[in-house]
Amino acid sequence: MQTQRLLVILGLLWGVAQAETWQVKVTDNDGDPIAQAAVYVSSQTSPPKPVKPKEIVIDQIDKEFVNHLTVVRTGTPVSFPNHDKIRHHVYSFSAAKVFELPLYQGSPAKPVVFDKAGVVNLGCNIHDWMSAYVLVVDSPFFALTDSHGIAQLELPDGPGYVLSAWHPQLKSLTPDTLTIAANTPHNAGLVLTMNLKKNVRAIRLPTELGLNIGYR
Amino acid sequence: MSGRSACRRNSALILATVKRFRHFTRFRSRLLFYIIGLLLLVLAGVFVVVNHIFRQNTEETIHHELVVTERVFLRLLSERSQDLSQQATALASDYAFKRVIATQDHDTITSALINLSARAQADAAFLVALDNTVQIDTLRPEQAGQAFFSPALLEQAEREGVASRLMLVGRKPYQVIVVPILAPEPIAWLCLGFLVDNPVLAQLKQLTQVEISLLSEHGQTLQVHATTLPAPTPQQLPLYPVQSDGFFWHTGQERYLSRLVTLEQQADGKLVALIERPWSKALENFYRLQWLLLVIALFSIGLASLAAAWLAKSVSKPVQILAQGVQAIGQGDYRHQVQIDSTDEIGQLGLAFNSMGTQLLEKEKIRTLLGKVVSPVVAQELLNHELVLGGETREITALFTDLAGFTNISEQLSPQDLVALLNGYLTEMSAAISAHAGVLDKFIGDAIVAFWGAPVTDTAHAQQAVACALAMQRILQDLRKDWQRRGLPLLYMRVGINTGLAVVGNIGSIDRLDYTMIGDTVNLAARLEGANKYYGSGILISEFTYQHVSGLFACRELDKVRVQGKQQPVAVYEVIAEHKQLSVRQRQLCSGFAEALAAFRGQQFQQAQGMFGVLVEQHQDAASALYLRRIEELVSDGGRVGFDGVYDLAK
Repeated sequence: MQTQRLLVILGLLWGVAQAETWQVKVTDNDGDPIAQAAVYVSSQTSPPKPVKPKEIVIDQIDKEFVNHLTVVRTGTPVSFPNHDKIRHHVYSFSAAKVFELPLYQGSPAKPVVFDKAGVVNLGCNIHDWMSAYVLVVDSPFFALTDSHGIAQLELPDGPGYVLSAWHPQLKSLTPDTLTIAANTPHNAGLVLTMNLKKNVRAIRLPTELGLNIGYR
Repeated sequence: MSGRSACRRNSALILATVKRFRHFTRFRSRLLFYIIGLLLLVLAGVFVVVNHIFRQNTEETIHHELVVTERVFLRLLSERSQDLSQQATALASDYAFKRVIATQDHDTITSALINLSARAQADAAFLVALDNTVQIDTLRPEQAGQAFFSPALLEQAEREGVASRLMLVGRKPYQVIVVPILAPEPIAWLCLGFLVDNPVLAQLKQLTQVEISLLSEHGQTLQVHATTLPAPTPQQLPLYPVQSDGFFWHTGQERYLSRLVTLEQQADGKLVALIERPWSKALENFYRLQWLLLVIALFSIGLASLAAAWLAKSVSKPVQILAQGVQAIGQGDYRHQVQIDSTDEIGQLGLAFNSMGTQLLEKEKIRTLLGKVVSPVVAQELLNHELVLGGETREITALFTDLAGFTNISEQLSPQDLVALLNGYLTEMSAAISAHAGVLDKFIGDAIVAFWGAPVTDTAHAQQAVACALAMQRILQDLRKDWQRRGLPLLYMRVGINTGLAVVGNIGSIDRLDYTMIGDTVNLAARLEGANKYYGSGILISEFTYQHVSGLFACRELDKVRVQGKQQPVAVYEVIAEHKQLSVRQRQLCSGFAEALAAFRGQQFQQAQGMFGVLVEQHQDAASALYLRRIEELVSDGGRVGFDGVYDLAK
């Protein structure tokens, strides 16, 4: 496997306000922004207050998961309502959460609670191309980058954080991290760099996309 | 050119022709020999060319086939690899298997993996974690926990979703397939190994019809892993010198044209396929063609033999017929005609031959007819020379005969009897003339004109003529006996002979001419014939003839006559007989007459009268009686002034 390139930027956060919005940019090695990357606090000096997380929904619409990447705090219940007319069979064999929702229509009776931090790869047993990720983190502080590769994180004042970035196509198996020291100015221009790869996955056939181009 | 030499030349020609035809009896076999020889030469040429071209073509074809086969072989390998990859992909998406992996129970996973590989009839199965460590290795269980033997294959699978490669695993060739196990993103690598062994190659051989061996090359040796070649195949093959086009000759149990194809190049060596085609098998078609050529050759030789035999027969048969014809002509059968039913040159020859026979027959007819009309000698001369009018002056002896009293008897006989009598007489006489090499000039009624000394020069012409006259008189004597028996009147012949220069030649018009003679000599002979009547003699000759024949024949001088228009008197003689056949009485007559004539010429008339009287009395000699009458005339005239003893023949 490729050696992981890690850029660590040290900064100091001055905790004056109750909560500050931090902008973290995620780019690849060429400096191009990476959208839909998760940025989250992977460790913090003081643990956050335990809060019962709200239930979150991952839809199945037109034989695709929506959204592709969802970040949740440990213990979050996730429901998988099926909006298609056909049945789906949602499963995960990832170590963080192994579960199955065998062939169902509509909303399942119970949400699945993701009680262990880690990456959970969701699939559908009858549609190979359907793939989604749930990144389960211990922290309540996380955000996804926009099309400019910028994630807006509202972090309370604190002694310092270690930020991590993750993306489904991350080359490394372990997420990149960025440690933000106390007293780092919030406009310090924080940048996380990561290398992406092309994932091996099943390809949805053109007919399944409803594009009338036929087989080749 | 004389007729005899021409005849000899003709017969020599015929002999040579016959000899040549004897050679021609082998003509058929010669023709056969040439035609078949030529055919064999052509066939041999065709065979050599076909052989050369076929071998060249075969080699080119094998080259081409091997190149195509190489492509087909590689394509088949690739398709097989794709097939196996698809199978592996299908297996990797087995949901139950993914679920088993999620259990992380090693034994269960191993069992499931073996079950999975059995579905695809794989010979080996591996499960590799995403960190490239081998989790399960059904082939070599001890390899678990080690790094996978081909990281490059995993990289390729990660890049392309599937990877396939022919490679040695544990010294055996495997088609190794690596696919990810997607749930739905990769959670592990499924790796299947399919052994490439003899049955697999046998399948490929069925499709490509070439011998295939799978070898690995290490340094300078090739190790055989699998092969379609009949056992036993040596495990180690030396490297053959490879031609620039990638081909080389490999001599094992038989000769192969071979080609090495590199399948996989690896760091420690390479996997190569040896594809080859036996030379003998490639030439199978050629051997079939050879047989076909042989059959065609035999067939055409047989056909050519028949054609040659027929041709030879059609040529030699008419030639043989012509040869027989020539032989027949040579033997004088001019009526022989050949029958050749063809319109070609040989047919024309046959027509020409028949026309030649007809012409020869025609000429022979003319020759025979001429011989009857004219003397055979003249006929021959006429046939051998161009017919020209004109003549030449030659010394000849002319002979005239006449039958005394024939006019009288012609009134007594019927015309038939007369002609028969005359024909019998003339036939005998002309035969006598021919026998004495004389030329019968013409018959004038009962008269015969003949001559000697022309056209063929004959120095003894006078002797021949006199001898002939004597012979004719003898023959007539015999005829008279015959006539006497038959009660026919008896006829006597008068002969006059003269020798001297005369013009001989073809005289007449161009349409009708005679080879005859003219001149005073001839006239005198005719006169002499008539003078016999006067002297009562049988054969009268002039002194010119007498000069030639006096040595052979006994003659007596009868008179000296003055020929009309000539000053010089000519002595005339009666031929008595050949000297040796002269009788005593005849000798007495001759000597007595000579004495009496001498006395007469010496004007001793009285003495002469006595002597002639004795001769008349003893010999009934007509000439002596004539002289007695002359003496009486002279005496009664009282002796003539100027008596020279010469009388005019006209009297």
